[in-house]
Amino acid sequence: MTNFLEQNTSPKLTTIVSTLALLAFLPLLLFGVYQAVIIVSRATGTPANIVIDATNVLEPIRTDFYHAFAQGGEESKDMLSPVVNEVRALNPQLIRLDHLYDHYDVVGRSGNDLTFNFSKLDSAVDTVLATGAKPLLALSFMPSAIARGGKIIDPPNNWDEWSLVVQRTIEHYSGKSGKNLNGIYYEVWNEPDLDQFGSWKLSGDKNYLTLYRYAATGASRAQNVNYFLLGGPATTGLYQNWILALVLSGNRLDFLSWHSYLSDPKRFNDDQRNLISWLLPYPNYTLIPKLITEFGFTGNKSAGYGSMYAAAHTAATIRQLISGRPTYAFSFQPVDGPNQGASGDGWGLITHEDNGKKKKPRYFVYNFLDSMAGNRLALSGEGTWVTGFSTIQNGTIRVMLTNFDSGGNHVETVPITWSNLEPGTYTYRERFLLGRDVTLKETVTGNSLIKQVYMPSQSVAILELTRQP
Amino acid sequence: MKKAFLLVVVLFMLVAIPATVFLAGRNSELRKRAAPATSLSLTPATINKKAGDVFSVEVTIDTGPNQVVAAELHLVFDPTKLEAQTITNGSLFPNILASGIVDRGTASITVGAANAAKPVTGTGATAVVKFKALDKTDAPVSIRFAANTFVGSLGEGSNNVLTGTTPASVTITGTGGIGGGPATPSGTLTQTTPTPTIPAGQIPKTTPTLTPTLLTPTPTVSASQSGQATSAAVLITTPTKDTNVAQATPTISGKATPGARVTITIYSTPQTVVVTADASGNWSYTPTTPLDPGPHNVIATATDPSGSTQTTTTSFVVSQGATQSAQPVSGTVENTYVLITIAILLLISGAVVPMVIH
Repeated sequence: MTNFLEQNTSPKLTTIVSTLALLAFLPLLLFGVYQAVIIVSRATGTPANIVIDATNVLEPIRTDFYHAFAQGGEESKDMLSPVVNEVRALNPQLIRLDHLYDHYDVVGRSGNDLTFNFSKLDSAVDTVLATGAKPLLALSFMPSAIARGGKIIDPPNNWDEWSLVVQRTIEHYSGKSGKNLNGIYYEVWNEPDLDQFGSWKLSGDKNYLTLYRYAATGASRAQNVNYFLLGGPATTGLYQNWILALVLSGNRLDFLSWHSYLSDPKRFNDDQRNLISWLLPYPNYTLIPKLITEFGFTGNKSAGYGSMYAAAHTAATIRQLISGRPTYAFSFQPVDGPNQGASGDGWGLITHEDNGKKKKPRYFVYNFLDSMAGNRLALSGEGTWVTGFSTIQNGTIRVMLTNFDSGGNHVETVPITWSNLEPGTYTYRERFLLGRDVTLKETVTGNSLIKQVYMPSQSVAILELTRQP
Repeated sequence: MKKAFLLVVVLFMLVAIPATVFLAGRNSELRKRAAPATSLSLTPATINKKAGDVFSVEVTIDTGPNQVVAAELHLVFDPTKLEAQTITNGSLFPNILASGIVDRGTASITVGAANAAKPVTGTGATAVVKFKALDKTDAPVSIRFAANTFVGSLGEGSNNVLTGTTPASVTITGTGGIGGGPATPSGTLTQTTPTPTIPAGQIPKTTPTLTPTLLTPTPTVSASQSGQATSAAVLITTPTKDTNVAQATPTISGKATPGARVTITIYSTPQTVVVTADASGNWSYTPTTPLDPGPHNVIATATDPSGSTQTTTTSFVVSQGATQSAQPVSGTVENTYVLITIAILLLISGAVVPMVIH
């Protein structure tokens, strides 16, 4: 080979060919190294070995905080109307609507005066009320009738007109002579930090604090109204500078809100922990409601939203927030917009009516988890992928387990130990979200029971143990 | 007549000014004494258990005159003798604001009142911690509060109103239900002594046997043990209270007893560090992580060589656009891949190209 090359090619040509070959292999090599790192890092997780102490009873848990949903504005209409029955079955407590002032033709102008027509928005609010939920109204975006240059993501020509818009909105929905709703959340804007929604800052010409201040002025002028809450900043993530700027702004602030699109469920717990540490020095704000007004595993459309991936992510997120949580966490969103893929890659829990209003796996996780109501029991031994929590109610011990692998298809057989049980015969039920449901009889002679549970990738299960009389 | 009037006015002012200063000073003193009056204690204060026993300890708050909205609790203990199994909220605080974490030698939770309209006042349970006794103790070991334990109260701004903490003392005898017997129900533990707040300046009898390995995640063992804190022994001199600073990594400095260990916690994105005061009592710390623009609070707790602790606080605002100290920037994973690849290519070219040529 060497002789052949030496005889038939010049050394210079050989060098050039070798270099070109090496350069051609460079992307392949890079890709190989990248994949190797992923495989190595994935293999370093910890498998779960769950232990439940049947006698260590902790605080009661809430199962309502995740029954909150945020509907986006992919269509300029009442998007929930076609799926009102499906949404009602989710037992929603709160449903967030945004695009109030650019989709529902609320504000107009007649000469120097503003005109208000809430009829179209009323239909959407009535649909929310028909589901059994209360609306959370995101005061967005700037009505083109008052916006500078008519651009809905820009400040108004006259800030007093923005105050008036907010005042009239609150008087219409919270007013005793209006819709007479009580306890309505009004959120100032939607994702103000995002370019798409104006790229507002905390200073300068497009200062969110100014936007908020004039909204608060409008709220303070609202007459003859029921109790309502005004808050923000509804940013794309939990940002300390935005939160503290609002806290320190001196404006009325009844709740704090932000959005969380995080693939790692544990980061929801980190956010909660960080937020509380930021607020502890401000005792007047430490306890105000905190709302994640949109959450999911990604802000982009993804086929994961049409699969068990999203369901497992939701269950894993709820597990992270089961003790130490926001007041409400709003899943985004109840129904897909139009023109989505048949695989359900829109954000919705239900496909668009054009795609048959099909319920995706995530739709079923909320009511499934409701059976976990009760007092939390001590549970240890969660792993990297399999996490969970345990409760006890009326003598039945339940364990929620979810196997969520954000980057792959990890499967695991999980040992589960119930310790400090009373000897006797137990009914053991093992049911998976959209999967198997089996009931067995188990005899406990000592004081513990050990089971092995196979957790497929992206799965959610509830195990129930009830002592027979 | 005019002269007489003038004289009366001058005399009035001469009396009024010192009187006003005196009264203002007295009010200020009263407030200073009234504000920091909340204490935390562990109940029972003295615990005798056998290795393997599981028992509960209640974190009890006495709010004093304060209207408490939240409490961030951090407990430290010897992990070779005790294992914390769970921590949850107590009956006075219905809200768990940040979930409980039990780790090797530490247990923490942040709890809150129902809402700001119903702050907590009086005495009662803040949290309940379940422990397992692991091993026999030669001398009693303590469970105590870490220096970054914080209690917030309405009307007290960003001040930590916690001034006194009382630890628990645990004695473990050699044999018992190793392997985890049933948990002892809360409230049935033997309480051998009441749990008074320790008088000012008096060091609790609990033997401070903690080792540096206990310090994670808060690298200090300096639980606040004084029943009545005085701010005289530790001072924060810079930044001065409520000032704006232009540096994202402002140097925090102050005075303490020479040789004292000063635990500094910056409450924003919490950073905790322990420094030692020099022979002149000076100490300082410059954050390694730049602080975000906005308000920040600093709590400094000094533990002098005798073991007593004092706490002081300050607050400052990092200006928008504050400059960051020059810091090395770490590389990214992608850069590492590229460098590794280039290195491999160079190795290959070094071996293959000469082979091909020759």
